[in-house]
Amino acid sequence: MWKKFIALSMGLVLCASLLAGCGKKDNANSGGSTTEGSTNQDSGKKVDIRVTRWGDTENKAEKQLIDEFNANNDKNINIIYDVVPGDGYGDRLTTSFSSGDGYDVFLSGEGDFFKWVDKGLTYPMDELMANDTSFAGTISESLMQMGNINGKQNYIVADQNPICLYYNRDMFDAAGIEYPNDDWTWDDLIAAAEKLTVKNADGSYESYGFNAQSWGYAVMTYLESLGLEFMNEDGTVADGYLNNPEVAKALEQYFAMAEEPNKVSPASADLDTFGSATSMMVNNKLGMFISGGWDVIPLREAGINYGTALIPGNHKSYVCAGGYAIGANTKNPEAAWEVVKLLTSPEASELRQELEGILPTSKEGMEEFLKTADERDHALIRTLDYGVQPIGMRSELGSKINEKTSEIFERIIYKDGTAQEILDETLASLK
Amino acid sequence: MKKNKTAQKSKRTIAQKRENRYGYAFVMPWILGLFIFTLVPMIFSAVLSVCEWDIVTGLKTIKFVGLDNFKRLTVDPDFKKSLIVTFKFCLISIPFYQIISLGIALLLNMRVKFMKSFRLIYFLPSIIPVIASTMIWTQIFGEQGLLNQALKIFGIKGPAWLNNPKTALYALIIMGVWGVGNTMIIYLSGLQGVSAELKEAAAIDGANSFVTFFKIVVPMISPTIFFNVVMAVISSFQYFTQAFVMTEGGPLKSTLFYNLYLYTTAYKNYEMGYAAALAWVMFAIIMVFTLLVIKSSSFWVYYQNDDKI
Repeated sequence: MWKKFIALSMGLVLCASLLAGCGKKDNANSGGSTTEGSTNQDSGKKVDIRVTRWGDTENKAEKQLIDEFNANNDKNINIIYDVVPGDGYGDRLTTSFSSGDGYDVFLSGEGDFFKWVDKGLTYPMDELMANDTSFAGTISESLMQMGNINGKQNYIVADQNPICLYYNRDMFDAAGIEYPNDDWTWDDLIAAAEKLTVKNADGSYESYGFNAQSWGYAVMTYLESLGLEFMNEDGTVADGYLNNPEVAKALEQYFAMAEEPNKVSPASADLDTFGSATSMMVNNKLGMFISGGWDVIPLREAGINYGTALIPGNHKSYVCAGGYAIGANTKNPEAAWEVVKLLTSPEASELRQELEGILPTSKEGMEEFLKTADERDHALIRTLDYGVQPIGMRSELGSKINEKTSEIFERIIYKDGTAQEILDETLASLK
Repeated sequence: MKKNKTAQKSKRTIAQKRENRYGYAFVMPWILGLFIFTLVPMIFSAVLSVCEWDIVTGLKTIKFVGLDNFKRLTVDPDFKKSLIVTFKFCLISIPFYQIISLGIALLLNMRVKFMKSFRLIYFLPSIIPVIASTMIWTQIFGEQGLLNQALKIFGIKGPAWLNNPKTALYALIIMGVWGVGNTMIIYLSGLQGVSAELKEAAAIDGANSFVTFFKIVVPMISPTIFFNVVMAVISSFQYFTQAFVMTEGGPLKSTLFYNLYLYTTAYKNYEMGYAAALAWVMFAIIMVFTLLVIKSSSFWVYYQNDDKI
C-alpha cells in the first residue's frame, strides 16, 4: 500500500514539475509587468491592455505614467506593461504576433515603421483620432507625418532624437583647439581630430580625435551633410545616387579615418578594447563622435565636460524617433487608443524630458524647453531644423537599401573591392 | 489445482498490469516532453520546409510552395558560404580537438603528485558557461588583448583576431580548445581501462612507448575515440553560440556558420519555410557523416568482447 502511495505521489510530482516548467514559460512572457498583484483580482470587468517597449526595466517615465493610470483611470482599463531589455525586442514582438494574439500597443523605432505596416501588424488610428475630441494633437506636424505610413496614421511618435556631433571640451582645451562651430566643414573636423589623436611611442594610441563608426545612421548623416545620398528624396530612384562616384569617394575618405597612416579614429577592433565611444569620451580617450540625444544623460551623469555641435558641412542630419502603434490583433482598439494617447501625451513628453533627457514632441514644449535647456545641448535641439528622413522611411526601396548599408560599409572597411565596385554591385543586386 | 494456477496467473497479470501502469506514469513526463517539444516541432518543420511562412503574420499565412525552398538553396550564395565555413571548421576542429584532448588525457593519466588537482584544473574551463567564456575570449583576441601582448614578447604583431576575415574562424577554433574538458575526461576514463598487463607484455617484447601507444593503447581505446568522434561531428556541424555572440557571422561572413545563417533566416528575415528547409538539409548532412563514421568503425574500432564470441 505504502509503495503504491509513494509511487503515485512521485508520479504526480513529476507531472506537476513538467507542467510547472511549461507554466514558467507563460509567466516569463509577461515578465516585467509593473502591475504585479495590483489589479488582476479586482480587474473583474476591467479591460487588460498589453503594452510593450524596449529598454531597461527602469524606463522611469513610462512606469510612472502607467502606475498612475492603473491606479486612477475611470475607463476601466488595466495596462499590463512589458519591458524587453537588451536586443531581444524584435524577436519578442514577432513571436508574440506569430502566436496570434500580439500586443495591444507596442513601440517601434522609425527604422521599422514600414516593416511592421507591411506585415500588417499595425491598426491605423485615423478613425479613432477623428472620433476623439479629447485628442490634444499637440505633437508637431512633421512628427505626425513621420508616423503616417502609406497614407495612414499607423504610429504616434513619442520621442525624437536628432543626431549631432558631441565633443569633449576638456580635450579641446588641452589641445588648444577652438570648439566646433556652425562654419565647420568635414576638413575642419579631420584637422581637429588629427590634433586630438595622440600616439604612444610603442605605436598604440593614447587617444583618438573622432569616431568614424560604421553605424548606418552616422555614416548616412555624414553623406547627407556633404549633400550626398543613397537615393532621391522621395525614395523612388537609387540609380545615379547609390553608385555616384562622389558617394564612393566620400565613403572611402570616411573609413580611411580609422586606418593608418592618418588614423584619427578607433577601428571597431579598438572599441573592443576601449569599450563604447561614450565610455571612451568619458575617459578622455575620444574627442568627438556622432550620436543621438540618448547620450546626453550618460555624459551628464559621468560628469564629463561635453558640448554638442551641428554636423559639419550643410548640417543635414538624420532624426531618430520612436512611435507607439496599436497592434492589428487587438480586441479593444478604443481602449488601446486611450493608452496610446496617454503614452504620447504632452505630460508623457514632459516626463520623458525631465527623467530621461528626451526632447519634447510638441512645438510648444520645444519652445519652452529651449528657454531652460542646458547650453551644452543647444546644438542637439537646433539640429532638428536640419533633420532629414532616414532612407529606410522613404519607401520600400529605401527600406531595402537600408538593410544593405551595414554590408556595404563592412565590405568597404575590409577592402572587399573598391567602394565604387561595392556600390555598383549593391545597386545591381537591388535590380 | 488448475483453477488455483489460473487464479495465480490472473493475479500476477493484474499486478503486472498495475506495475506497468506505474511504469508508464513515471516515464509519461518524458514521453510527453519528447512528443510536445521534439516530435511535433520536427513534423511541423518538415511541413514548413515545403511552405512559405512569414512567422510574424501568424499561422494563417502559411502557403504551400512545393520544392521551391530547396531549389532556392542552389542559387543562394550565403547558403554556399555557410556550408564552406562550417565544413572548414569541422575539418580542422574535429581532429585538432581530438588530438589535444587525447594528449591532455595522456598527461593526466600519468602517476605524478597532485594529479587529482591537475585533472580538476584542466577540466575547470568546461564548466564555465559558454557566454561567460566567450566574453573573456573576446577580450583575449582584441588587438591589444592578452594573446597579442603575449605574441609581442616574441616580437610578433598579432592581428585583431576577431576583426580580421582571415583570422576570425581560426580564432574561434583556437578558443574551442578551452572547452575540450568533457572529451578529455572520456578519453581519460578510456585510458584507465587499458590493462597495465598488456602494456607490460608489450614492453617485455621490446616495444618502446611510441609503439605501445599506437599498437596497444590506441586500439584499446578505439571505442572511446569512436564515441568522441561521433559526438564531435554532430556538435561541430551545430556550432552556433560562440559565433553568434562574438562575431555575428562577420567580418565579411568569414564566420557565417550554417546554424547562424539558419537562425538569421528564421528570426531576422522571418523566412520560416526556407529556414526549415535549411534545417532539414543540415539534418541530412549530419546523418550522412555520422553514418559514415559508424560504417567506417568496423575497420578501425576494436571491441575486446568481440574476441570472446
